[in-house]
Amino acid sequence: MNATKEARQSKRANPNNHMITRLVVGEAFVQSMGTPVGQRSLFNQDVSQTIRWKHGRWENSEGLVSKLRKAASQSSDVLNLPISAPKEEEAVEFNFLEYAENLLTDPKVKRRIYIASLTMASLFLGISGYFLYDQLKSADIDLPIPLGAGGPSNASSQSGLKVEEAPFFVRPLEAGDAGTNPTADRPVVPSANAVEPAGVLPIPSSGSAPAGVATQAAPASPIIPAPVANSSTVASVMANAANGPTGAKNAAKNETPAAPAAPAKTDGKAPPPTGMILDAEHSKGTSSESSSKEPAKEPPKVRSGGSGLVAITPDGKIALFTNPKTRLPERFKVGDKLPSGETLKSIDTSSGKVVTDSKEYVLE
Amino acid sequence: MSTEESIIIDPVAMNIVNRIAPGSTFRGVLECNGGLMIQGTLEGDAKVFGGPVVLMQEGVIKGDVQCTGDLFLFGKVVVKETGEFSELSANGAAFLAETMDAHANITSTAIKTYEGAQIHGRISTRRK
Repeated sequence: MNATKEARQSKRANPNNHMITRLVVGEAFVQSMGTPVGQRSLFNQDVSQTIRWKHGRWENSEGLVSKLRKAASQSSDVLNLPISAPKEEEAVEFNFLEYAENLLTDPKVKRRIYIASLTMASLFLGISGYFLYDQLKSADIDLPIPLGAGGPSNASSQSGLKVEEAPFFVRPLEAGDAGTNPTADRPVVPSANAVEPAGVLPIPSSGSAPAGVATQAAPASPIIPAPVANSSTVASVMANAANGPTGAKNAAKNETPAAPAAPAKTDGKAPPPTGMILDAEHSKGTSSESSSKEPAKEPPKVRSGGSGLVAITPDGKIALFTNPKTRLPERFKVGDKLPSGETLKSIDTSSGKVVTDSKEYVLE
Repeated sequence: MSTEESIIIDPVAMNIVNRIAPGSTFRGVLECNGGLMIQGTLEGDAKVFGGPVVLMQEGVIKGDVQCTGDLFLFGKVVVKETGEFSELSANGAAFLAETMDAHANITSTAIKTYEGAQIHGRISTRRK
């Protein structure tokens, strides 16, 4: 009751209060806000035209072939050939030529072709170079490399002794060979490739040693074959030389030290040990006690494969020698001059010997 | 199928007792007790208590507005004189109508946007 009285009193005091508000603010009106942002409802959509499985087949679905046909018929890119169109082969060939012309005139394609050709050429060169190098390498391996390839300058040291190897085996002349060798009485001059034996005389100085040792060990020995030596012989010779004359004699008996053939022939006894260091096999042939048949039965070992006698023809006319300079075999007849400067005197096919004016070569 | 929504703005029912009429410009700081309808231009800050702020389609706000009710934005909100975005803050919901174009940062407890509303600024929500 009191509230209604107060409202009536306020209306009496300001009867247009409510109306004034309306006048100031205005009447109610409808204002459009727009479409609210949110997810659309899928349930209200019409799905009658969508694809569905019914009675064992898909309904409302268009086949792929029919779609393609439609697309092809509607597309403007498809060329509809008339009935009198040219054959397909001609059309294809023409198109290919045109395409090739376009390709060749394109600078990008040109550059690619250049790069590809350069790559192929470099690849081919690399492969061919590799094969060429391989062939050269194999050819180098096939070349004969003698043990004493360095020639006389090649030196090998064993047990502190410097032993030089001869470039090829040289059999010293014997007394029995005098008939076959007309120049046996002449002093033998070593060839240019031969090793000078003066530097390889490792005999220690001994007061009890016979005087002949020193004299015979001099480099002025008339026959100076190639002093090929092995370490055992060298050691035994050194030991015998240190033991004195008896030891030297034993050494002469056992080891048959190398001695010049001609001086040893004069003595009826075993030659004293000399300063020459030779192979055991070699020294057997040079010893006066040994018979002349032994070297023929046992061919001496050849250490150097450089310029020795390689082969003899069965008729005994030609002998093959290895040229130390070219390392190639060369043919020589009787009377020819060897690369070492010697003149070939005779060829013995039965024993495999070749006799020159200064040396005698045996088959390797 | 979404449809457009409409709202009935009844100033009396919404307690909108303040109004900047069309063609009118208010510059300065405005503190209202009750809702505010802006049909003209508001340049400055406004603090509205006890009612919503309705920015009509022809109205322009250039400044910061704080409101304890809802925000109905149909008009334009431009950047302030300093070049910064205007700041609109409401304790209620913010309705961003399709005709709105605001260069402002809007903060409210709920946001409802309509397709076409253009907002250039940051929108953030907070719990009541």
